[in-house]
Amino acid sequence: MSPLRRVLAIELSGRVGSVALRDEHGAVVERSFSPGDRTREPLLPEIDALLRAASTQRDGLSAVAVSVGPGGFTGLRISIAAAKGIAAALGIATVPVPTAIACAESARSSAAVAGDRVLVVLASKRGTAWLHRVRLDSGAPSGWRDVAPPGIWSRQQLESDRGWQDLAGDAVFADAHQDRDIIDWLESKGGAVVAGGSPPPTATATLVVGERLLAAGSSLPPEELLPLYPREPEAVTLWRGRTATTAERGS
Amino acid sequence: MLILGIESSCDETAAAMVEDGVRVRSSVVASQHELHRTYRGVVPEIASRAHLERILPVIHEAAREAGCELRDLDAVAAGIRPGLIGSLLVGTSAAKGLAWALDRPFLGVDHVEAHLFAGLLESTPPPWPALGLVVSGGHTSLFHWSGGRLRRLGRTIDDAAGEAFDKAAAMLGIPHPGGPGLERMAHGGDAAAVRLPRAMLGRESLDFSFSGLKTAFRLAVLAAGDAGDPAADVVAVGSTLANSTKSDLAASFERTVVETIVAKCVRALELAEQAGNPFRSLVLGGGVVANTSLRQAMLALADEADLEARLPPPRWCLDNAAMIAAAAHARAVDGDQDDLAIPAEPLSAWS
Repeated sequence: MSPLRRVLAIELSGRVGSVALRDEHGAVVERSFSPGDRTREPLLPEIDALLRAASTQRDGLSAVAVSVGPGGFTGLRISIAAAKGIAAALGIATVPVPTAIACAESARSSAAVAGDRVLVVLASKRGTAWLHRVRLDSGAPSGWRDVAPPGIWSRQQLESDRGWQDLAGDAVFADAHQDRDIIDWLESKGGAVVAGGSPPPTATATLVVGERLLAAGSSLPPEELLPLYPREPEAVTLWRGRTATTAERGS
Repeated sequence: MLILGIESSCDETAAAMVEDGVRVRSSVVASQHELHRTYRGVVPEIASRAHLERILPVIHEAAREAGCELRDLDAVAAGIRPGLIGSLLVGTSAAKGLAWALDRPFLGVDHVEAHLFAGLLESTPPPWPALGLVVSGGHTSLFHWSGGRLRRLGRTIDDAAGEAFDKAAAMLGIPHPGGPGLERMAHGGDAAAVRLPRAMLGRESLDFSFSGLKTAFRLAVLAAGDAGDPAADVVAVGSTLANSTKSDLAASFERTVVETIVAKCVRALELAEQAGNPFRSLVLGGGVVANTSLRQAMLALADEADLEARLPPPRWCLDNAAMIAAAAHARAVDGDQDDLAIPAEPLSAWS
């Protein structure tokens, strides 16, 4: 029997942080915590406590799986930078897990979703949102296959795209902070919004997906681990808008 | 004792290996100036994205240059304040991850304090107490430094000297970062061409103020360009001035800043003398200390006041990680370390 590959999973993209790892019997141990504030940044102490709870030594880790977004910038920076440091020190690989896939896995494993298709809504901003539509597929590296390429959409763009007109059978995974107008439209096209909001993505889901990706060879050297940015920096957008306005005035 | 220092407070990603607090085995700095030049200043979101891309390559390069492995480290240190919070989080979190995985102490360092330690790198300790001066883009502060304990004597009440340099440079159309460009522009200019105000803030004050100077410089640029409207676009006016006029303005500005800083240091020396606890040395740090006129003026002051001077070479005046490791060493030798839950903070303990 091959030795257990110990993957440390970190989920810090949302409003609840968590870390997870399998113990020597293969059972998942997870610790959840409030993200840090001005007085305390809990990630590393939580990881330390997790390894003790799972009776695992640092040098027993095989990889670090991280939920890479889209999500809160602060949490992603902390988790990805810490993962880079851990992986570099231990000489192990990292596994980037798209947060939307972790959300789909969380929803599926919590029985919030019964079907095999999930439409995850993340990173809403100014009438747009990140939409990632996936379906269960045991042949896919992560266990989930894209139904459509993930990306940023506005309601107007969705209305004019034929691929979004029939969402019957899709569970729409969106928390209370996502764009209401877009969610209403997805619902009007047959999407079933998960009742009562959605469970947050968990490190357990990141662990499960990360283990699949690692087994499929989808790991990265820690130098290449980066967040999944849904948009360019806002300052760049503003700058481009300002220079375009100046050019118009000048012409 | 070998310490890895990491610095990511603004737009430089840096790592250094320093032995026993003074011997710099490597110091690697990846500057982001090119990324921010278009925007005429540091864009926080662009800076933190770049830090995440560069942090490990910079650390690996520092280890390679030092000829050591990460497991050879005795401690890991990072600048945890002050700075852009999104940038600080990258260096701090990577450093904590390294320290935890290597099972080594982690030390969080105040960047302002670290600038003073830059003056002690590759050097011997100065006689104490020292008059410490940090002049950078974010800070202009005077300290009483007894070797261990640091006590602030004065600080800027508005803009830092380096910030004033950058803003003045921008008014003359000099691209970011403007301080070094303004210094080059000042070379050959007439420093007496334009009379600019020196804010002394009262006879006993050791505080600084540069916002009035900035405003006065703006008006001087507009006057030089014959712009009658005080609300005119100063960058547009300043950019089109003749080079000789720009040089005169730059030289006048530089001299005003240098003379203001020297005057405050003289006052601090006098007050210490009067109190019967004279300073025995002068330790400088911060990006503006790379300015040749300031260096010459401070060396002259040290000579005149019979003080030993410790000025870091220009490469260690700018943000770097060697100074972070050196500052951490002073605590690590006593067995001190920080909890891994210590947060990054935007403000210095000395703000």
